[in-house]
Amino acid sequence: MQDTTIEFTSVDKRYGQVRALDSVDLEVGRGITGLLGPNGAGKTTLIRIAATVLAPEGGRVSLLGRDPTEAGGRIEIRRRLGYMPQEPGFYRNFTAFEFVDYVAILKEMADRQERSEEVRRVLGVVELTDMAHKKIKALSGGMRRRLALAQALIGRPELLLLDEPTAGLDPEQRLRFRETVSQLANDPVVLLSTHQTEDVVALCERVIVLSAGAVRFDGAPKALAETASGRVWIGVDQDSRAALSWRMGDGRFRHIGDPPPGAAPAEPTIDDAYLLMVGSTSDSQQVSA
Amino acid sequence: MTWHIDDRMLALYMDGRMSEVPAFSLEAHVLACADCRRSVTDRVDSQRGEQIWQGLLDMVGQAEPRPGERLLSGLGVPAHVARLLALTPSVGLSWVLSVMAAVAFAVLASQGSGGPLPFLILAPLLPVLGVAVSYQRRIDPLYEIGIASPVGGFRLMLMRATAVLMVSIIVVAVAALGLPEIRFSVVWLLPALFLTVLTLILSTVMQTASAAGVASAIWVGGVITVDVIASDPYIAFEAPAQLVFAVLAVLLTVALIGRRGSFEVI
Amino acid sequence: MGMSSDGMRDASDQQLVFSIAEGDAGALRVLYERHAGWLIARLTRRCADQAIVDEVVQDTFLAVWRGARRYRGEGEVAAWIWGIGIRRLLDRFRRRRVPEWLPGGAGSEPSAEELVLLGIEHGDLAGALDRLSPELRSVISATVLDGLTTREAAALLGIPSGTVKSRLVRARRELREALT
Repeated sequence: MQDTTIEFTSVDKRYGQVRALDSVDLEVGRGITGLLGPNGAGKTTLIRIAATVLAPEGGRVSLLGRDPTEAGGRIEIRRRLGYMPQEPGFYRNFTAFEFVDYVAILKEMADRQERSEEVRRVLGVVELTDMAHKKIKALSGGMRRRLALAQALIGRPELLLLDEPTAGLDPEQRLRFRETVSQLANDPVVLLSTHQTEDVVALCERVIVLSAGAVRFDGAPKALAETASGRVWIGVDQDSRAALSWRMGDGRFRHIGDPPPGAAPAEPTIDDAYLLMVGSTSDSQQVSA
Repeated sequence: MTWHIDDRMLALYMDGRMSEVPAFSLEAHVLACADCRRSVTDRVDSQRGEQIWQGLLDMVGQAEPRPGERLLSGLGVPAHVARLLALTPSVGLSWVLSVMAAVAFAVLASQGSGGPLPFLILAPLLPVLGVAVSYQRRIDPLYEIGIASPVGGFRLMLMRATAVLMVSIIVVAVAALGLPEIRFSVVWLLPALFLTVLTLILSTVMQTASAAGVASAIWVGGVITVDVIASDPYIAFEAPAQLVFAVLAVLLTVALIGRRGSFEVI
Repeated sequence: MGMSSDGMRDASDQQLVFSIAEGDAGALRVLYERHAGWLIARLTRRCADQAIVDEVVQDTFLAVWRGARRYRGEGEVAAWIWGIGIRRLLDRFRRRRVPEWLPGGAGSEPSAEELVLLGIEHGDLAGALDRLSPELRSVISATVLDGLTTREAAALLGIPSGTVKSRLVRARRELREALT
């Protein structure tokens, strides 16, 4: 097992004039790593490159020790990875079983018996066993998301890439999804992207903050929160000097940035740190801990 | 339901000691009474029931083969490839039927004074349209997942293109029996092959649908132009032209293999 | 959408079958729990071989799983299940003559006690049926109780269809006479 499963060195990616990724360096190893960032930050681009479906431009990428720009390496990586894209497409007339079976064939499982068992196994992991023979169009959004996760688990991948897996789910569905991910057997290396800080708090041992194509933070969630140390205040009035401020449930105001007059310091949360980091795009220094 | 089976009757029945007529009564009653069904079930060995269920579950757990899957396996396609192709939604029964309809029309049109020209122009276009329908990269919902798999984009595309070609050939060959001369039923093959590979190679630089459109336009335009210029309307299908198509098909196939990387990433 | 497992326990048999038609394997499990037991018992009274009965029960529920769409909601689900099961059993017997078919039951003469037990609801009919000759009773058993068609009953009993029909006519006449 590699120590670093995903390695990006000065990776660039452009779409016309837009720099989706700007000289990204990162290393992802054991455990669950969260890729946190606002929409348009380049998370999907990064995940796609890690999933070998997008070619990097500048820089070097190493996945599971191999080079994805080289045909032999690419196939080998694909044998050992599982990918759940952002908007997983389904053939609506498929049953859940047929969908996962199809992907299992794509993952080179030729033997019917073995494949059926594996399909049933992953459907069991995501708790869709009873729905296995229902058509996908009859499944709810939350169930389809679990189905999309199931196909990624076929073949027990060493590397699991989930692009915004909880987007659009209601809190209960998100909770169930997180529980499933946290209980995955044989510890794949997981990289999941999200714009919800709660996902990070609940699941991730490590978080990478991505904004405008650049890495702003790379470290433990707690350390991320601490970057906002001394920059979070609670006051009675709104203040225009603060970088960001909003009204809380109890009527007071939370400020991030410079202290407004009369405001008291507050314990920084990951949310505060995240907002501070990505809210102001002029602050482009990479912070690591 | 005022009447239910009591324990004594039940014991008699389950032991096999109940005679025919009372058993009639009991069995007829059981069909209509859930409570008594439960009483009977309680007296059946539950382990036996579980074992039967486990065996059942195995069979329920298998998915039923799709239509066409057995047909493809019968034609010699490996089982898992047959399943993959049979599961591909766009190349389904409705597509085959439309192809058959189109070909039938072309054959009918060829019975008239125009000769088999309509047929010969249409037949090579069928696999082209089939490819356009079966592998629309932008629209295929499973496109990304497909590329991220070891089978990947290129192998998958080849399998589908081959299947489309095979089906087209069979359908057209059968329809061609309605043509006046035997030779007309084969001269469309090499152009079909050439156009299919052309479409695939064009799809590396444009959308598949557009690639199919361009290839079709080149073909139809080319044949009509040749028809207008030359004295022999079938010159595009004579031996020298066939050789050209064969060579082009081979060259384009080599080029396609060279461009395979384009199918492997978005 | 699928019913929750709690909801399914309260669902009617009809609702379960409709769910099964949509591919809900949980519904199949509940239906199995309700009906496998009596099916085993009833088939056992017609076939002493346990292994065959087990296979037939499995085949029956597999047929339910695959053919749930064909159930149109007419009549009791239990009767529909029996119709599938008895025909599966019949197929087995047509293929191999051994073991023996035990039409209707193993016993011969009902005891007075049994008749009394049934007397409240079915006494008259039970007595009348009992007074029929065995050959007439067996066609009633095959057609009325087991729900076979004349042709199926004929194949089972090893007699021509015409004979089955005429015996049914006689049986009905005798029963009517006995009950009036």
